[in-house]
Amino acid sequence: MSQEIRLPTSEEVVRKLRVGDIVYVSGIVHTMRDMGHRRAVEMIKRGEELPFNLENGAIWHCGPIVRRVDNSWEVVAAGPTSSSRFTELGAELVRRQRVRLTIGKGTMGKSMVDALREVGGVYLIATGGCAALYAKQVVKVENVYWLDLGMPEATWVLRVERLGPLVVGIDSHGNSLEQIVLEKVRQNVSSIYSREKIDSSRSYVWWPKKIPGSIEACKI
Amino acid sequence: MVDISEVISKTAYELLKRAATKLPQDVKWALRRAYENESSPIGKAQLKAMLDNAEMAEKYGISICQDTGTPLFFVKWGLKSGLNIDVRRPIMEAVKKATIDVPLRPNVINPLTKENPGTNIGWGMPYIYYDLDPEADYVEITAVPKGFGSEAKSTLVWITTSEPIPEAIVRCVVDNTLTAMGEPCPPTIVGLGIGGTADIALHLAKKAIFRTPLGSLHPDPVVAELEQRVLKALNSTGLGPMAMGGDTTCLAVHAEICGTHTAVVPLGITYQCWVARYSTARIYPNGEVVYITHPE
Repeated sequence: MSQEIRLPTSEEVVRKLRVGDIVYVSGIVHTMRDMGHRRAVEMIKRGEELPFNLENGAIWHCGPIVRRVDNSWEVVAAGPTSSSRFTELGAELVRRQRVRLTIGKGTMGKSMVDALREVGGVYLIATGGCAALYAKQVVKVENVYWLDLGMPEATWVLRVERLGPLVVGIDSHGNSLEQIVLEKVRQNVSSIYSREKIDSSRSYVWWPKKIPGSIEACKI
Repeated sequence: MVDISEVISKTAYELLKRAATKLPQDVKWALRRAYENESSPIGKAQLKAMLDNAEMAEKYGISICQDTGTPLFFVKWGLKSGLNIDVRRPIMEAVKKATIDVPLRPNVINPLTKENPGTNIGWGMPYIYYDLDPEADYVEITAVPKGFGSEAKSTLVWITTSEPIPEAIVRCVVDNTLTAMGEPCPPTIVGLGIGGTADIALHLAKKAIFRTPLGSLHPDPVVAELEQRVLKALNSTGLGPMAMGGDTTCLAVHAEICGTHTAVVPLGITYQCWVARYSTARIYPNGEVVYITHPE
């Protein structure tokens, strides 16, 4: 059932993946969070070269706990962080660097869905909180960049062996797992509302003026 | 003569370590139950990874999740303990040591300059909440390394008293949870603070998360009924583990209330991810320490 992907990969390989597929990834992945995404995109926009190569590679939304052992580094704990923060910047990197795999948790917005479809890439969801499990799949810290941003925000170059299980959350054909789940959820919610005597046309909330949590907001 | 300051520091370190590396027993049971009951294969696979991961973290003594959060402490001072000492300094020492030794991820930054000292200390962190218990003869400390995937989905809303309040609350919690999707790492524990003022509502919601045992109901039957309604509603959405579809979206709903203004009711909503990290101990004046949530 599950599929193996070796990095660097290719458009041809990732185009075959479909939403819901289980994937295990081996090879080099680059971690990147908020500050790293910002720095990378700004460098590219200035026409500078990144110090690492993302072409046909993978970005992992992850800020690992890393320990210094003698002259090298050891990953103690590593798991995904919430990906929706990187929708715009991540899409930029997919387009400009041909990043094939973007790994994180939660989901990513429309810009990313579009970028993955146009360029040929996938968004993979790791199980949140599983840092001990995933850390055991990191076999080596190859390098680290931008440590001035702090340990979590630095870009760690990690050699992984069968990183997974990862679930294809957005494929390269415009499909997202979120939309499939939400379609079912919307039906369930209307029966919950009628059972609980909730009028869905009313907001019930006086302040903020726009209710922050509204199922309408879930639409990509 | 026992050096209580030293005991507090050692205990606070131990609490951080136990919280970061080991789930409380009731949380493990709840996840196990969710796994056994899960009908969605993808949801079941998520719960399997969670259980395997928790077991592995406990076995190797490493952090369950890499986001070891910001260090929060809830201190309940028993007036009959006769203890009259500063807990801030020993707690700071414990955080510094835990960051290096457990290790915890150095998350704490200056909120304006983004400077990261690498110690998890600075600008008021670790944050300590103080409470008094006139009857207790001990000082109770709860360490909470609070991850931000769930924290950053907290919300405060105001419901006018012209609305039916329980229905409004169910609506708000369901909608907020569905908007948050997988990012607070469901199945979550949902904390609700109803009433008071803005800060009281969110504080009560935060404290409600750590009620033990997990899933126990509020003593007021009206609040208890609301807790059960919200839990049932969330687990009927089909959102499931990591919002990939499934039966268990929420492990428990704990609500607290406070008297409020006749015009409008503040509702604080907070989340704790499935990696529910909190650990409590009681320190007695003779230096004896009793661990409550993580006995060994």
